Amino acid sequence: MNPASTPSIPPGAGATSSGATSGPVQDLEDVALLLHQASLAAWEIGDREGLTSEMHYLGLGVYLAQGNTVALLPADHVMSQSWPPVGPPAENDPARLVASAENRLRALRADVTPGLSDLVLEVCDLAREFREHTELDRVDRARQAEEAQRHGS
Amino acid sequence: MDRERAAGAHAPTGAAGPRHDGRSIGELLRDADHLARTLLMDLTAQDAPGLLRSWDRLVDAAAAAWTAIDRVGTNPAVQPPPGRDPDPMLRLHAVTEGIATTLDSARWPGPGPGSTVVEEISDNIDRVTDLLERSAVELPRHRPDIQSDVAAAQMRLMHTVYLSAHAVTSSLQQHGRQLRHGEQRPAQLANPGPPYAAGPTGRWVQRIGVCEGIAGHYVRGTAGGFAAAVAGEVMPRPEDPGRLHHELARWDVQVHRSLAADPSPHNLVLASRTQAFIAATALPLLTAAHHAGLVAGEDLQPLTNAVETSGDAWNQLASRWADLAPTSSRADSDLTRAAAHLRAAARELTHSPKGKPTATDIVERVDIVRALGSVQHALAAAVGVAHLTRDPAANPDLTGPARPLSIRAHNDTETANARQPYGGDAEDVLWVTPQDVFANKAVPLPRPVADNLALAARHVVSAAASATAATTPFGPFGHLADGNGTRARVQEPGRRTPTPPSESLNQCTSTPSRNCPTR
Repeated sequence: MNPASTPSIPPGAGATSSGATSGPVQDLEDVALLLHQASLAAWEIGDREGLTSEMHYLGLGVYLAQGNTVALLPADHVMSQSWPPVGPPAENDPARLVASAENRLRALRADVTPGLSDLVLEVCDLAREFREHTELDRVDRARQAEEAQRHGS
Repeated sequence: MDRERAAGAHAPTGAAGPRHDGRSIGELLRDADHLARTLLMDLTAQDAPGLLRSWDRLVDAAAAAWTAIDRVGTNPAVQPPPGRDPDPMLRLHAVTEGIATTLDSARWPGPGPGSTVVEEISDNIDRVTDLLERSAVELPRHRPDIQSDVAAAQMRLMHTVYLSAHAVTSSLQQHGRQLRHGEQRPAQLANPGPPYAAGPTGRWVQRIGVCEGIAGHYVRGTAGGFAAAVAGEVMPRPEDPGRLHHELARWDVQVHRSLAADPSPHNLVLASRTQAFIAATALPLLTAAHHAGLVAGEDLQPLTNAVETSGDAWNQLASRWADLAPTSSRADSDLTRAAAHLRAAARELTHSPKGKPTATDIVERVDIVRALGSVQHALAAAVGVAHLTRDPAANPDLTGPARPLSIRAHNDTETANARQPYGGDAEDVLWVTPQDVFANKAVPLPRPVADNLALAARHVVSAAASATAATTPFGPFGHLADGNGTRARVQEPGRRTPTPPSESLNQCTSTPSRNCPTR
């Protein structure tokens, strides 16, 4: 994605008369928060697992997508939340957070939000990569459990 | 955003014009599939006439390619699963012939230009047929890998047709919606069929919808779907091992520029995590080099330790800078783009669609010497990047959001106390006030956080220097110890190891330098 050449939503476009955001701007803000939370969560796992953890690769992709999401917001936009909420560990699953971001993007229309299509593609690819990683991880664990059982017996 | 720009932003590398097209069958099919996906982006009602006009040419091309693939690789002993259409392309072609006949005499859309994207897809598929007819021999059909390769090619072809059909019907429906709004008549929700299939578009939506259904039935009817089918594709060696070198060089230039111009926390997080990613990319390449006999056993562990330490140091630094980078931070777009390209290029070498490859897989697919040379160069450049992170880390005026800084200060204090022989300072220091934490205000860095940030930056410099020193033998004109203990000269960059003859459908090309079975 090329955020420098991609026009973002015009300044002030998302503001209502009360100053609160609405519509696509709010949706993009929520997506940015979800992706930020996902990148932090992925890197936390990656830092625990070591340098070669797949989570580092995935976390980097999510962080890039977060930056591209913020680039679509109006230049003068002030986010209502500057930091993702701190929730219980069960809600901090990066795969689930990315899937939530993908789901949230479905509410947006490409003809109303310029530059949206590339972001959708990016986030969908990330969601797929997380699913593939989860599946490979599950297969690995099953194989290890089987080997452990074989050695034990 | 126009479709051509979208296509360019994510286009696979290696696309070429018609006269000097060196793409393989697999590459042509992947490019066609990619172009079909771009059709669905930013689709409008204005696209409907052009898409409809180009539809029959696309299906003609797909049918010819399908037949050619069938002749090459189908094992007559293998029957399609029960309930599966034995030849979906035949049905698709028959329906499209009917559409084309009606189109010639229809008032709408009438004569006019087609869709440039669909024409390009059709050109790609025509080249596939041409290559199959000119270059491919009867491959050993009994081999499971050939059968998987052929099945993957057919799936890509049908998937391309499926996406294109969906683009046509979606655009037609948008056209119908526009007509409805123009006529100010409500949509006929009680009638069967799409509610926005208005006027002349209605029958086209239905007829193209039949094609979409045939193609979609094939795609969804395969066990595991599209992804499972194309996983059987025989992937060629990365055709441009210079791609990693190019992206690493581009990253090096951009990260220096971006950090010199704007060492913001967001840019520093991105720079640090990407540098760690470069170190992580080096590790499987080193293991593969050892497997190929390029690195002696006793050299491998110190090498990987040095690189791993450097990568870990970068990650620790990134983790600290992330505390200061709120969600709203604006990224440097050039730095973001360079990181994204590097991520994709490195991934191509160290991963495969089936999961993490073994050292043998990497040696077979990658020019190890050249790849390691590129990575060593990047690790050497990392020392300069590390120095660029030191000054921002030592800035006494840094501020950040109270919540993460409070957590970090607490953790740093606990860690410091745990290291003390007698449990450390028992006094509990409140580094950030609860009011500031609740409001998540921007606050100055608590002292332990500031001290440890500066320490992490200094550690990165020394770890990067150690990794550079350890991996110097892999640089251009470096020396490696071979298994016998004598010192051998590394292959110079640009000299590739010989490519074995291809025996797969997807690797056949028109380029003479690539080996392909010929008649």
